[in-house]
Amino acid sequence: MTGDRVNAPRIDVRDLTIRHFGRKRRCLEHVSLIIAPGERILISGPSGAGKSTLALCLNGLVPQSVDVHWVSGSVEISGEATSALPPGDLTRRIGILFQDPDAQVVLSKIDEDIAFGLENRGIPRSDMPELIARARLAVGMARTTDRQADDQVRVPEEVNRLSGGARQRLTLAGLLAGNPEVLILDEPVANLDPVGAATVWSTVASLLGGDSARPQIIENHISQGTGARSSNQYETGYAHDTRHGSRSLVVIEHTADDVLPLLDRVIVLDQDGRVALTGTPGDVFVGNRETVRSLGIRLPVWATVAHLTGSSSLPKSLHEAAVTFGEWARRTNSPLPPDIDPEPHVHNTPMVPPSMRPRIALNGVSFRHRESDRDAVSGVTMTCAPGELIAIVGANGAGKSTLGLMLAGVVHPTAGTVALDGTPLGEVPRGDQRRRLRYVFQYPEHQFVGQTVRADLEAALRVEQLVASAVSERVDDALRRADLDGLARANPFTLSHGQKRRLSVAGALLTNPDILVLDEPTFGQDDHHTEQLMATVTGRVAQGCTVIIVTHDLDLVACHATRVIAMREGLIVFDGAPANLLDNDPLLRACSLRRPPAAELAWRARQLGYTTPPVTCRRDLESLEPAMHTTINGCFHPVSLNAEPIVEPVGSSTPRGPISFETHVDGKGPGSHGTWLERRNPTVKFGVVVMLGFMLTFVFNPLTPLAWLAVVMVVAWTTGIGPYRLARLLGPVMVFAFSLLWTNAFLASVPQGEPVLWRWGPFHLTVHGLVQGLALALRGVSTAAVGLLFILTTDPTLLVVSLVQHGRLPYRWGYALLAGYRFMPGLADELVQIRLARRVRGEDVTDERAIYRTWGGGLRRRVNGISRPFRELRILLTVAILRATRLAIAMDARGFAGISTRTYFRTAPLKAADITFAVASFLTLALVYIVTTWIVRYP
Amino acid sequence: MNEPQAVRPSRPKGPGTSQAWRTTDLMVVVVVALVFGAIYVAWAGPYEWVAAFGGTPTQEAANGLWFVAGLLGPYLIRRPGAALASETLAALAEMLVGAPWGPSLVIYGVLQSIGAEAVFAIFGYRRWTLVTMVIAGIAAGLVSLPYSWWEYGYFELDVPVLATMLVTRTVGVAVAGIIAKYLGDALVLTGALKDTAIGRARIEEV
Repeated sequence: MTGDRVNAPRIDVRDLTIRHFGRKRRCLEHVSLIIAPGERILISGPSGAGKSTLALCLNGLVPQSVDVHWVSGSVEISGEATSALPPGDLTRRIGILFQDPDAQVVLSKIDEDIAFGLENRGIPRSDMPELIARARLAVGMARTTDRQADDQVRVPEEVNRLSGGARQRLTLAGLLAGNPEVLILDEPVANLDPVGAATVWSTVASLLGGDSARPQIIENHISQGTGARSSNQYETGYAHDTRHGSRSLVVIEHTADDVLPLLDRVIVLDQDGRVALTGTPGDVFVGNRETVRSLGIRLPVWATVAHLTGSSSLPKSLHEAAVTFGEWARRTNSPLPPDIDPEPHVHNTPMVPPSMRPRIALNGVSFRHRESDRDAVSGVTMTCAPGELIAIVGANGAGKSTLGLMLAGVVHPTAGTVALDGTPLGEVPRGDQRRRLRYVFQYPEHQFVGQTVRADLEAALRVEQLVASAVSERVDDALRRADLDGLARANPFTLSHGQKRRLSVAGALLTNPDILVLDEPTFGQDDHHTEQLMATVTGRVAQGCTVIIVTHDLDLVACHATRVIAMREGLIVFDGAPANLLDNDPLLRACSLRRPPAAELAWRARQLGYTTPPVTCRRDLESLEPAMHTTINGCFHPVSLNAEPIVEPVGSSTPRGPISFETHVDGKGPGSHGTWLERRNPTVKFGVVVMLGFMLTFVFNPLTPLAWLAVVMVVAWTTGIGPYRLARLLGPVMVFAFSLLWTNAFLASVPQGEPVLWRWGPFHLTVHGLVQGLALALRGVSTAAVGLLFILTTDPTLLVVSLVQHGRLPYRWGYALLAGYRFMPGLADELVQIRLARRVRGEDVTDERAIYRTWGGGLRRRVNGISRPFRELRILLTVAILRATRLAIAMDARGFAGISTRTYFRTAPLKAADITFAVASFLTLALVYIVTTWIVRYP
Repeated sequence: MNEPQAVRPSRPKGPGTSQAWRTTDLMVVVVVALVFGAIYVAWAGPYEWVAAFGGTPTQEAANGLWFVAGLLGPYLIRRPGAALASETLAALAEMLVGAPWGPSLVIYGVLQSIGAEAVFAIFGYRRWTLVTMVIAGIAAGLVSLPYSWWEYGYFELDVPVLATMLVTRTVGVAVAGIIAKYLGDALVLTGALKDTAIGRARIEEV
């Protein structure tokens, strides 16, 4: 199977026009294109151009799994229309990687997740381990054996412990294991930090690396301090396999820098979903520079270098680009004496000189999440002045967002103080805080309060209590600025990723806060919208607003920030000018940062001994004209490699998973690990527990359940669950049992001749009732004890797998349940975020029904209090459903739809011991019953 | 604009079913089940304290909440089998999350959805009004009554007590129907359900 050559199909898109449900505007407009076998294509375009929809059309997920208005046209794979081909066949041949790492991983263990696609294709179980091992090797996630563990970063087998970049590579491994003929990457790094992004790209590059003409990207990434792992892959796994020469690649990206050396051809879509440009990277990015720019697409740095030197072709490697740039600088410059200090960056000095008095001051501030043993932010002291634009950078989990939240007064530090204009934040009235401090959360979905885009923006203005006409005017203006004016009546949740983010930022920019904190405001935005947003932000800064941006985009930082704060493990490790951070190689590495492409180019040129103009960001580079005079000294830093943290940083979030279970993923199934009860087949155990509970319902004396409870306690003790722990977990059940006890004691019907001991109203105490109540209460507790023992000794995944294999649970339901179960724990963290976000937006200015507003204030507040859980539940369900529908598409993309025969990687075999266990359980209960009833009858 | 109808693609066919669900439908029901599984576990605390002091009649009223998933799932998906699937999976999820009652919950899951499923079937999976939801809730509550009263031995209680319990139980499950409808409608308004039957039925073009 793995040795087969890939014969990539030719893909023909003819006159494709598509409209989404709920939108009048078309998403793709008469798109025609051909992807030749083995071609490597970039599809670019402004946000909302229909790039992702096009990707879904290429492998038949539209229309097979996603309904749209298919207005006209066809997509053909080797001459056959996608709407007619079986979905399983299509997804086998064409693999797709989406952007959200959380909405693609299906199962909770690495091997199981990779196997998911293989299972759906009916690949024999015996072939799976090798395919999985190869795929893992190819993405740099080979299983670490105990022997290797000492000298390597251990790869955790739990998916929930992987970082975003590692999760993306895991999904890529899942695709590769199925050996697809075409690989589609739909903004695969949009949600990742710079280092995570670099590892994904270097993995992709190494997969395509068989072709000797294209090894530069590897070098490119290694030089940026990320590629240690990938260089190993380059010699192993798939790299030398010639068949990869003929696998087609379709990349969808706003920013082409990272993939440029891989590409054969670029296709650019415009705002209306039409094909605007197509050609070689050189044709498009150098030849049609102005068109590309006018479409709002970022020009790759190398294209700007080519433009500067008047060349019509792109450099082929970073080295070549750096040499070209250096030579160009040498030709146009008259170098200054070497002892002159580098010029500070003029455009990054504060527009308003910072006043002496800080606007916000943190003093020894720490924050620790509940249930965490480590501070997310520890002992930070800093001040922010009016007119500063501060960027906070660092790896995922370094404490950036938490620091931002404290600066905006959203969360209160667990130690230290925050002061606004010298007044401790606690003493600033809540209304003032709300007006003066604004925070925009990273995930826009958490903070939408309106049911239309317009209503959501209006809610933002309600804190200022303006008259209606002023509100409407400002909202119209904000809609225009955010480029959402056509979507004023759309529901915020139906917007694209980029549009959602623009809406959430626009809401905060509507008001005039003194301090504005934006968490990742430019994620997934095209160049045009990023520039527009930054223009608005810098406008505010010029008026004296303090803006703090939490971001991974160092190009943005270099271009706009007046000051940058780098964080690592909760501490501030750098606070100063962006240019100084970008020159500090060890610091960048320590913070998992990566020099942005323009700065990297200039730095590389300086390393090669050239003196270059001061280029720290793309804008510097693009503003260069043939005559340039200022220079800065090239400073030389030693290069060393750095591996990406594959593990989610400790303490970045609360531990995931409701109950942790030891699991067995080596394909051996149960039987090799755990106590004797854990080794039993879950379906058998399940059946036994249900039957035992049923048998107990025929018992009406207190002694039998009591004796049974004792037996269960002993069994629990043999599996290492002490009686105390069991009793503690049974606490709630005992409360319930108490109810059964007293209702029966006082309310049971009185048999003939039974004396009533006490009577009051409907209540009457009898001995019969008391015994009855005691029996039922003990029955409840002992049934629950058995159930609890079952839960504590059964791995949920294995239970579902076993129920599918032996218990007639349809596999589609079983695996859907497992997929949902994997991401559920994350929703708890999400609920915390949602609560914070809604507090920021003001609970009382939400989309409450008009009815609440007409009622009196006190009552209104009370109704608000009652309806709050409902509102939170609604939002939680909304977020969960959004994630689930995204995951459903990813599951179909891995062959979950249209399965003919499915195989299983993980099995739950039935053994003789399981039958013995079942029989023994029933016999024990029977014995307990016989003995106890005998005792009750013949005391 | 002369546009053809939306493409109705051939649904993925699963073994043994004539009209298998799309993965999206499946996942929506699973999410409802899992979220409610967690809520059910959380609800068990207050429920049991209410029961401890209010006795079986209040307990029966508070019982209603356990029926919401089995009503909400079908309300969103509008397919045969959705009630059965959502409530049973919610019970399974409740067990996975760690409810001490364990596997016996799954029996309740099945029993608590049969009545609702029958009502939705009688209405041909076409009528989704408040009345339908309340009737479905009551049907679910009544169908599951015999087993639950048998398991907890309620039939031994006085007849007036049983009558009160019947009334409170009916009120509880009727409220569950109302909650499901209210929550379903609120969810549609958020726009997250645009790919499901209910979302499609109510979508407005902008």
